[in-house]
Amino acid sequence: MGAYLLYEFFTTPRNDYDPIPSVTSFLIILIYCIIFLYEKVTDTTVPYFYFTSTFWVVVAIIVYCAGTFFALVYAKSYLESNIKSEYDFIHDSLYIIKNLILVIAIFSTDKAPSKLNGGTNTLNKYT
Amino acid sequence: MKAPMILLQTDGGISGIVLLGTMGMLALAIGMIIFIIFHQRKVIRYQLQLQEMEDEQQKLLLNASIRWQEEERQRIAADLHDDAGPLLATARLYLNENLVHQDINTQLQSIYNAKQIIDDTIQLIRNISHSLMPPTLKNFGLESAVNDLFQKISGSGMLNASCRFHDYRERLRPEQELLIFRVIQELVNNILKHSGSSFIHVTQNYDDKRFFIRLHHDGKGITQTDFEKLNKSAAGLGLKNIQSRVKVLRARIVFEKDISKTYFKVTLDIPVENMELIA
Repeated sequence: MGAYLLYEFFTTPRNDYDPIPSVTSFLIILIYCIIFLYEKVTDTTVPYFYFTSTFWVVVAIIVYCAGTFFALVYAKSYLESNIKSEYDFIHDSLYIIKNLILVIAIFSTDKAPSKLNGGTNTLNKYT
Repeated sequence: MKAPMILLQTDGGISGIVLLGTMGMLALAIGMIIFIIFHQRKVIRYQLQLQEMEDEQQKLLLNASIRWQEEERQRIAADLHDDAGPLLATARLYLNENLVHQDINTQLQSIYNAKQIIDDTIQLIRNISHSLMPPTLKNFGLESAVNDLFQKISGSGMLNASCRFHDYRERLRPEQELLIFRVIQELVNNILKHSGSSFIHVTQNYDDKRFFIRLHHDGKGITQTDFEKLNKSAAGLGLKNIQSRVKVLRARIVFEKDISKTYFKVTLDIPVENMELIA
């Protein structure tokens, strides 16, 4: 993937935009995020994963990548048709949402609420 | 990229396909995240329920253990108070101060009676002591203790009790032997009390780093389901004691009906890693 991106970077003309590398990288990032979430969900040693900052970082990435995916596919069309404001609207809204979710990630304490703390031990005991 | 261009130009605003695509992708992403959160919550709830059940079970076992201890203390207290107390009091009566004013024959008779009573008391205290910790178990091991117990049961003529240890060349640690002996004792006690069987047979085997004790009887028995049900209920003090001892041994106990459907079988399966054999 890295080699492909490098190849695209050096071969694509500077004033041209090719959506394929961006879309491919977004797809790969999404797939990685989904695999990561799946692994965390199936791993019972981490019972309160959705309280962790990692979870919210991954959520931010997923929301941003999934939301801007179609806008990226049609980014070239937007640029050529001079209606960039609409692309900006989609992109910027999701950018703000992503940053808000990242704020949640920063402020998440990586600790389950006290009433659930007993459960953590339980899960550790069972695994 | 001709087709998207056409779509964008015909719509004149955010194209329907981009809007729908973005909405669809967002819906999928949010749906997936919500699913993960709910799934995790469900798993956590399930684990908490398991924890609560485990705690409840532990509480029951602890209560049973405390009750058993209290009952044992009461039994010892009753034995001492009702049997040893009156015997010693009677002996004291024979040896009172007036004895010196009596004739020699009466004195000799009193001393003889007091001696008899003191001998009885000694025997009684020995019996109490043996019921607390069988000396055979301490001195000669599990096989001898079980044999001794079964000989006493057979001697009563009520039923035929036999045991056979196939592979018991090395003794286990004393506390482990005591735990196993108590489990066997409790099982035998239950059989005598509830089953109405005509025989009890115990076998011991050692196979693949596991120490097995199997107990067969032909009376009315219980299966694993009954055992688990009784363990979870307030009744079944003896069974809870068995369960807590089995837990201390890190062993497994299985109650089942024999393949022939004629006998009931109890298997005590102890992993040898936990047994620390001594020479």
